Amino acid sequence: MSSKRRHPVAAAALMLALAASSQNDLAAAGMPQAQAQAAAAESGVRDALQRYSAALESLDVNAVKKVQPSIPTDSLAKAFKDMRELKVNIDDVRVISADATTARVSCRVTQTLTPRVGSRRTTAVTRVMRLRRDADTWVIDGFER
Amino acid sequence: MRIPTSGAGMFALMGSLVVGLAFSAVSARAQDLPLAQVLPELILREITLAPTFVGAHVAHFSPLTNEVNNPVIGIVQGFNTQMATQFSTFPLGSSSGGMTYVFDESVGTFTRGSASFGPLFAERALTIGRRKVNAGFTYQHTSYDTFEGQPLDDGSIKFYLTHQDCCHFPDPTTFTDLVEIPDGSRFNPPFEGDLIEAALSVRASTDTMAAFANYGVSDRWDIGLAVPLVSVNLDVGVRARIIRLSTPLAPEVHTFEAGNPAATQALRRSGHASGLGDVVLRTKYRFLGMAAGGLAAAVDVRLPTGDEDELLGTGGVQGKVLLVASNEGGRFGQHVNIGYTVARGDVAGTVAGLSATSLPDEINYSGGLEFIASPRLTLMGDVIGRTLRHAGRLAVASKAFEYSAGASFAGGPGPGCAGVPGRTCTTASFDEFSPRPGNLTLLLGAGGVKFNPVGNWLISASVLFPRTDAGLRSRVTTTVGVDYAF
Repeated sequence: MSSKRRHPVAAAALMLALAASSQNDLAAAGMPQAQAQAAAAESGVRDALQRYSAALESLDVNAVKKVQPSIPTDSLAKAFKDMRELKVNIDDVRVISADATTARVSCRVTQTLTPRVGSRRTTAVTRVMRLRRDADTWVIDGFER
Repeated sequence: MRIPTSGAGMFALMGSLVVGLAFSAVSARAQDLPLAQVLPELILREITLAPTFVGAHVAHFSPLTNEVNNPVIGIVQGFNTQMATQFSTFPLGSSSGGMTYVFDESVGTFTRGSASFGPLFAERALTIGRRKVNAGFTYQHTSYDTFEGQPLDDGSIKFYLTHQDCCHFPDPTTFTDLVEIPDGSRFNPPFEGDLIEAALSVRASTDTMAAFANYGVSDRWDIGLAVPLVSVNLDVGVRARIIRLSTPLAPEVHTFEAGNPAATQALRRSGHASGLGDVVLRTKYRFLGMAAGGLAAAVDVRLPTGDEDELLGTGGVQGKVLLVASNEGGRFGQHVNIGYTVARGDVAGTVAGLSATSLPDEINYSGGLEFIASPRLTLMGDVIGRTLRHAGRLAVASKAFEYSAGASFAGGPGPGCAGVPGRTCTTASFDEFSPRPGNLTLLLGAGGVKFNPVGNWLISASVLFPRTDAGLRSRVTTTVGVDYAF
């Protein structure tokens, strides 16, 4: 039994080693352009999500608008007005597709709200975002769900 | 015991608690008669005369004993059933949850569903949100003051009991050989023309503790239940006096006390009952959403779980369909409800021998304003209207009673009244309730506050006051409540 349990772990380790080896090989051989763009986009997207999370936590509409220019600011301002504190954590980030200027990303957004009226509540929502490159930074273009 | 953490689990727990509480509350009464029968029994059976030398007149003014087709029975029944209907269908608080935060995809975070804590007795379109629960209690005290504009507790409401059409003299000129067969009039024998005036004094109050719980099946759909525990206090007094139309010179014929023709009779019955009222199952679906408002359809089903004979329930099933519209802008919220209630069943308080009164269908309408005084305080006012279809009204009207007036049983030239020499057939008029077909419209105003002291707790206080004289009225009904959103 115990030896059988170890098998998946060993298999996973083997897969990781093979993957690392193949990535090193690709880098050495020179990555295809699309893959290189995706890698660069992923870094920019993660940075955008980090800024988005921080902007929401700051309860600053302008800060959020910098990361998500299309956000309805009046509605967001009204939402922030009812908040005492908002904690935001974004994880499970998965780049669905990316090129030099656009990306689609799936991620889990966990928010813990301490409202001015009422008690603290937490919700986690998996969202699919569209992002685009705007000069040197990536911004959120919209949400698909 | 594992405490549920999900909304559905909490709703199930709250539901179990309120249902358990409800069914452990066995209805109890503290008198030998069901409360719904106290008033008719007192007026129509228990007013009796002293036995006199003239004969067994003791129960000749007790129509339930001797004359079940007497019109006064219908009048008293109308009064009693209207009281019973309105006792048990007084409005409970609304199901609108006070504190709702929803995840708004357009802004990517929580928004407060409404800055208002919602109406008091009407509904608003906003639902409480998926997997959310709100539950709580309300306590309502109602003390009834008037009926159709007449004070209830000072003897202003009077019923007039005619003498039983017991018999007649085949030859009225001789006053012999009395035949105990009615002759269809109160002229022969002349003493049938006397009346008893029964002045009614009623003190009636209800205390209702309602437990409720609502659960958000989805962001648009709520289900809920309200379980009222009702306590009814009824104190009925009658002061009876003989209106001696036909026997001013022979007062010993009808008297409450031998040798004292001026004596009156005071009767009183008090009763109390408590127990489960009519459980209400509720659902609401918001089919058109707008910011903090929209349009919704709601259905309330009122189950006949309350003992109608003890005035704790209606005695029938009521299904109410309601169209709800609400909106919010700035510091004001508005709401309008229009609906129809279908009722099946009979109202309690039917007098033995008469056909039962059906529970009336209702047209329901209400509307109101909410003012968001601060994020923690909402002030609100509602107008709540109910039109009880074909429930009938009782209106005070002058009513003529026929009697034979004259100096004595005999004497004078004939033929006189109904063949009795020396007497005159005439009438006397008194004001009495008279049944009138039609709808009964009850209009209430409500004003109150909802306050959030801490966390998700909400405290509410309100007063209800009648806007018309129709039906049974309480000058002021007070309601306080507390609820919690999970």
